[in-house]
Formats: sequence, structure tokens, C-alpha cells
Amino acid sequence: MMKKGGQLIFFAGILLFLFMLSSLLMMSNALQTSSHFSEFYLGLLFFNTLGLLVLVVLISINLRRLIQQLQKRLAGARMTIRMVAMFTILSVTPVLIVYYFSLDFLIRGIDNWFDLRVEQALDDSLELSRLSLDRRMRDLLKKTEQAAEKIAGTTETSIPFDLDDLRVQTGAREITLLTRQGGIIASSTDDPTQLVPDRPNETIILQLQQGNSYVGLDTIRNTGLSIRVVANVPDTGIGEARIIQGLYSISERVNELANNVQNSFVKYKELAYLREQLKKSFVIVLTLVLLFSIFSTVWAAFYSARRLAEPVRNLAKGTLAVADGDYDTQLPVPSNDELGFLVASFNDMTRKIALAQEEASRSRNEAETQRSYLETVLSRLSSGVLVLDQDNIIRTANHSSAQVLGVPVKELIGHSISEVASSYTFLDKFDEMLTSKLRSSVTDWREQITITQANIRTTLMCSGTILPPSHNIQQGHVIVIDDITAVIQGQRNAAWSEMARRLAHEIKNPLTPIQLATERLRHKYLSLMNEDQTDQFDRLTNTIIQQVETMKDMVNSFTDFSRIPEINLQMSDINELISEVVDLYSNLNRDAEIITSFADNIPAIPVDKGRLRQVFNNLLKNALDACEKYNNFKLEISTQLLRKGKQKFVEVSIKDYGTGLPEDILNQVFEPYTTTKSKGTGLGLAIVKKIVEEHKGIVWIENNTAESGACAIVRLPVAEIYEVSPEKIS
Amino acid sequence: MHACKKSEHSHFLLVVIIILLANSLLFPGSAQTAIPGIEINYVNCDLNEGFYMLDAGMRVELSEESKKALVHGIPLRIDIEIKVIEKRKWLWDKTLLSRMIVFRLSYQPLTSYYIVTNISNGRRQQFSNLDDVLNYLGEIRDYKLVEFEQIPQDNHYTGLFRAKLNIQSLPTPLRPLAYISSQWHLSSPWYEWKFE
Repeated sequence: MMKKGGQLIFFAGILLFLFMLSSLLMMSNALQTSSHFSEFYLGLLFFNTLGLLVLVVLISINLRRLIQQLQKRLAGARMTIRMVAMFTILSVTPVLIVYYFSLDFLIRGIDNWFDLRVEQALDDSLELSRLSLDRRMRDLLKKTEQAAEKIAGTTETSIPFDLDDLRVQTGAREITLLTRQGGIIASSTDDPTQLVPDRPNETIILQLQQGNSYVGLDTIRNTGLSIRVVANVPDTGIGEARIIQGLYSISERVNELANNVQNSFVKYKELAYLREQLKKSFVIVLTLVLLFSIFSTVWAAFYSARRLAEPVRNLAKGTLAVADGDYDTQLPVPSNDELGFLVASFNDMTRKIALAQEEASRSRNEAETQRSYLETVLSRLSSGVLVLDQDNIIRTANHSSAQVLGVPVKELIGHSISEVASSYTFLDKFDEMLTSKLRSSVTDWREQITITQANIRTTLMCSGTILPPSHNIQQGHVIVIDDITAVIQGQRNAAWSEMARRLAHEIKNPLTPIQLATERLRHKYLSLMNEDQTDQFDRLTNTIIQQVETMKDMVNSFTDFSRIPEINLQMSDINELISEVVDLYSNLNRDAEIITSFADNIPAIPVDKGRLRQVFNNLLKNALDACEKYNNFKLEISTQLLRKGKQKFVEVSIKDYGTGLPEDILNQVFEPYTTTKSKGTGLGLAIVKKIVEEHKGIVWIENNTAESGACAIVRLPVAEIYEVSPEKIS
Repeated sequence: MHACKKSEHSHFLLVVIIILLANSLLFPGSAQTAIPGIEINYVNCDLNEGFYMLDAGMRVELSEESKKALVHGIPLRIDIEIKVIEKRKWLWDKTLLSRMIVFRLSYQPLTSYYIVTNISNGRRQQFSNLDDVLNYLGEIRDYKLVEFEQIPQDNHYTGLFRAKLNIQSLPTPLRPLAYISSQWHLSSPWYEWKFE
């Protein structure tokens, strides 16, 4: 398909070609015959020159465009230039040869029209005519001079008659007597219709005045050639000086022949003179034809080459576009030939590539969607999931796995578990277990292990299975890790609670009768006994009563531990709460030095004040108890607001300088019946932990690193994510 | 000996060239004829016997190329154009009358005469030399331009006069070159006079 502009140029070019061709034909015609075209010769010449200029401009534009394309290294430019050069050489060479020979033949042809012998013959015939007429003229001069002598003595009255006689005698057509100034005196003619005689011109009269006769061939009154003889009349002294003129006819045949000779001579002379001009004109026309042919051919060569190269250029452009990833490229199919087939095939190919690309893109999107779906699922899983490749390198690790293992995700992905364990030593056991499992041939396995990180024991349930080979992993493993610490703790707590409830129930019932019976026994029989028995009886019954009391306290503790929590939240100031507890203990133990350091920015948080007071009570009591051994009752209590990610916490730390805790029970200190004290029930810290967990907080105890003693830390969340129904917060 | 002769020759040639050059530089007029062209010297227009009669004087000088063409049998045509116009300030000039006198100049080899034919009235004149021809052409006498009554007397008019060699009348092969050669561009500019 040609573009609109291209079509316009094409038709304009054809029109110009036709116009120039016809004008050249007219010019040629004008040169050959002086027909009607000769009037337009100059116009045609101008038009053709203009046409040539237009062609030159067209060619220049094309050439410039081509050079620019070549400089820009556009596809198809070299091919176009090669084709233009080829077309031009192929067409210009024969035209130039024809031009050379035509010019040669033309010039030779024109020169051949002229022959020296013909020219000489014409010169001779003209000379012959002149000589023949000269002889006659000399005779007539003599006759006229004789007539002049005769008339010299004639009187004025007889002049007309004498002139008639003289005319007849001399054979003149007309004879006239004039004054020397040219005034007519008398005339005689054989033509009665001729009223006014012919006068000699000024030059002749001047010649006569100088005393010379005149004889010449004149064309008189369009009657053909006549011989005019003018002679001075000899001066007789009578009257003024006169001249006589005789006009003699030449025979019609001589006249005709002389005219023919003269016309041929003139024609030949004219042709000889115009020969050079004619040659120049022919050369001009022929050169115009040559230039027209060459320029038309070159322009046509440009046009054809461009049209031929266009599909190739389009193909190159299309290929580049495809290489750049534009698969929607469709090229215009030029024609029904091989090039057209090639372009159609290209279009077909790009269409198919585009379809395939679209399919691939869709698949990629689907895979991406699948992947993000899986990622979302994995990130929302509370279980940690690790995917290991054949080299045991972690390829995938979800957020929960990082939480469970206590290692950031980026530290996990791309490393083997052994590498991770070398940085995080608490994972040694996990690494050992995993390595042994991965080495074994068991495809599905399940294992529970406990890891200790920063004095916190975490129980993990790991299960693994072999992954089927996929595109990027040949044989991998997927490992699911669950933190079952809370579950185990819950189970243990439930078991302890059940036992405590039963114990309380079973023990509390007989205790009151025992106490009452002992008090009655003491009341009834103490006064009846001997003095020596009294002391023993009193001591024994007291022991029973005290032990029963102790047992009651123990049973109450059991009851506290086992009862279902009924939490009553209130927005409270933790600093104030701790201050109350600290005041109580300051009063109870005067030796105690309790240093408090409360942060000002602690917000009010929803807590069960009574139960939290119990927590701090227990912790302070434990701390002071731990100080008894060194008798150094120094406590440091501080509060601070912590920020971990988006979550804020209120952290309370109670630091003592007492005995500290043995490392082996540090992890189990919050377990029921774990105690280092001789009098403790082992339930105090278990209850503390239970209450703190009821507040969604955490509690732990760590030994001081620099000095002796330990530090209990309670961390309670600030309300943002603390989901408490409004009615519960009074 | 031979070489000496050759040297003498070359010296002689050099002297001749120098003399010719000096001559042409010192006496430029002597080497060349008058400048070809047509110049209008005067135009008179008088009222005589109810007619405006025109007299004009021109210097007519043919170029070498045109003379050559003439003696080679190519007739030349001299056109004399006369116009009377009314000059207007805001509009283009109005032409009251336009006349043309056409002379045909040819050479007769048999008689060696130059023939001048006034195409307008058919009058023929023959001259034995070219100078007479040019003198004849250069003098226009008692040309009846227009009748007195034909010119409205309520205004002032301007007369225009010019003469030129007509290239269009030359034979076709000669014409293209005549158009581009100064040898053939023989024409006077418009000569203006007050037409009263």
C-alpha cells in the first residue's frame, strides 16, 4: 500500500514526465520546420528547463533523505543506494552512448548539407548574373549619356517631344529630365497609367552633383528589377544644370533567372549562417532530452528503489520492535509477491509470539497469584514452615517460623540450619535433630524438642516430609514447627489445677474437725492435767492447731491456684499500684531499702487491680525473702514504657541483691511446687505467672549479671491491641 | 643558429602584441565602432494642418552579429512604437493611442543594396551602404500621428516613443540564442515627451 503523499508525488512525477516529453516533441518539431510550434520555442525551452530543475530538486531531496538515512544507519538505506546506483548505471550508460552518436551524426549531417562546390557554383552564378547585367548596364549608360548630349542643346519647348524620341531611341521604359536638385522638368514613359515619374534618391542626386553618372539595378514600384541610369546633361550655359534619368526594363526571363539566382544564393547564405545556430539549437534540444531521460531515470530509480526497499525496511523495523519486546507489530503487506509472502509470514509470526507471550504472561500472573496466596496463607499460619532444598538450604521461611525460632526471616532464607545455628547457639539442638532427620531415609517424621533462649524454654513440635521435585528444587523438605510451650503449660496447669482442687477438697474437709477437736481437747483437758503434762499437752495441741492452720493456708493456696479466673479490669496507673505495695512493705520491714524509679510516661492500662497487687505483693515478698540470707534488704523497682514494633508495653522490674536463683531451676521457677524456700508452698510464682498471663503479659526472672541477686520482670501490653470489651472496663 | 632565428621571431611577435595592446588601450575608439544600440535623440510633435505631425531623431547602430546576419540574407525588423498616454495618479495609465512603424531591412546580394521597406505603408528604399540605411532609419519626418480632433483637449498627455530590433521575427534557429545574447538586444528605452 502506497502512502497518500507517495501517491501524489508519483502522479505528479508522471504528469511532469508526460508534459516534458510532449514539450520536447514540440521543440523538436519547431526546429525541423518553422511551423506553428516555433512561436512557443522559447516557452518550451523555458518549460523544459524548469521541468529539469524540478527533477533536480526532486532528486536532491531524495538524495539528501537517503544520505540522512545512511548516516542514521537506518535499515534499507544501503539497499536503496545500491539499487539507485544500479538502476542509474544501467539506464544512463546506453542513453549516454546514444547521445554521443546522435550528436556526432547530427553535426556531421548538418555539415554535410553544405558543400564548397555548391557554394562556389552559387557565387559564380551570382557573379555571372552580375556580369551579364553589368554589360547591359554599361551599354545603357552609354546610350543615356548620348541621349543627354542630344538633349543638351534642345530648347525647353521641344523637350517633351525630344524625350519621347529619345525614349524610343534608347528603348527606355521611362525617361525623365530633372534639375540637379532633383526637380522634375519633363518625363516620357511608355506606361500611360504612370502619372508621376520615379525620382532618383538623394544619394544618386548627390553623386550626380559631384559629376559622376549613376547606373544600377533598382527595384522600382515592385515591378521587379529595372536598370536605372542617371547622367548629367552637358552644360550649355543656357538655364540651370540638368540631369537625365532613364529606366530600362530587364527582360522577364532575365529578371526571373536573376531573382532565382539571388534567392537561392540568399537562402544558401542564410542556411550557412544559421548552420552553427541550428547545430547549437539541436545540441540544446538533444541535451535537454538527454538530461530529461537521465533525471527521469534517476528519479524513477529513487522511487522504485524506495518502494522495493520499503518492505525490507519495514521488516527490519518490525524485527527490531520484536527484539525490543513489542509483539503487536503488524507490517503492511506490500504486494502478492515473495516479499509480500515474507511480510505476511512475519506478521503471522509476531501474532503467534504475541499470543504465546500473552499466554506466558497469564501463566506468570497465575503463578504469582498462587505464590502470593501461598505466602499469605503461610504468613497467617501460626506454625512455622521451612522449605529446604536438596542442599538443606532454606528456600522459604514464613513469619511464624522466624517467631518460633527467634531468628529474623532474612537470616533464615538462603542459609542452612547449621549456618543459622552457628549464629544462634540456642538452635544447636534443633540443628542436631534436623540434621539427623534429614540424613535418615524416613520420609515423614515428627519430633518434639525444647530449646532455651534467654532463659525461656520453648517446646517445639517439628514435623517434616520430603517435597516432590519441582522446577527449582530437586528434592527438598518441608518442615513445620509448632510452638507447643503454651499447650504443654496449659495441660500442666490444668493437671495441677485439678490436683489442687481435689487436694483442697479432700484435705480441707477433715481439717476443720481436726482443729476444732484439738481446740476442744485442749480446752477440756489442759486444766485437768498435771503441770509437767500441761506443757507437753499445750505444745502438742498447739502444734496440731498450727499445722492445721498451715494446712488450711496451703489448701487456700491450692484453691486460689485452681479456681477459674474472674478478671475485673479497670484503667489503672501502674506506678500508683506499685507505690501502694511498696509502702506496705516499707512499713512491714523497717530495714528494707526500696528504691523506686517510675517513668512519667506510663499510660493507664486496664488491669485487675486486686490481682495485679497480688502479683507485685508476691514478687516483692519473694525478693525480700531472697535478701534475708545476706541481710541486705535493698530493692530497686522501676517502671518504663517500651516500644516493640507497633506494640507498646509497660515493663516493671523488681531487682534484689539477694541470693539469686540456681541456673537449673531458673527455667522452671514459675512451675507449681518449684521453690527454693523452706516454708514456701511453691505456688506463689505459679499464681504470679497465671495472673500476668491473664493480663496477656509475660513475666520472667533473670539473675543479675554483674552482682548477686535476681530481677523479676513483668511486661504488660498497653491497650492498643488489648482486646477488652468496654463493659469489662469500668 | 637555428635557435637564434626562433628567438628573433618570438621577439618580433612580442613587440607586435605590445604595440597592439598599447594601441587598443590608448585609442579605444579607433579599434571598435560605435556602441551597438538605439538611442532616441529627440521627438517633436507639432500640430500641422489639423494633424499632429511627429519628427524623431535616433542613433541606430547595429551589432556586428546582426550586421553579419543581415549580409547573410537574414532580414531584420525594426519596430518603432509610439504611444500617447494619460498618466493617472491612482489608476494605471490610460493609453489614448498606440502606433507602430515597422521597417524591414534586407540585403540584396545581386545589387549589393540594402533594402528598407516600411511595412506600414509599403514604401521601399534602397541604399548602397549600411550607414545610409541607419541614417535613413534614424530620421522620422512628418509622420501623421493622429488627427487633432481625436485627442480630447481637456487634459495633459504624455507621448512615449521607442525603437527596437524585433527578435521574434528572426528565423527560429537563431531566436533562442538571440534571446540570451546581448548582440541582439538592440532597443531604446521609452522616450517621453509632453504631448501638447
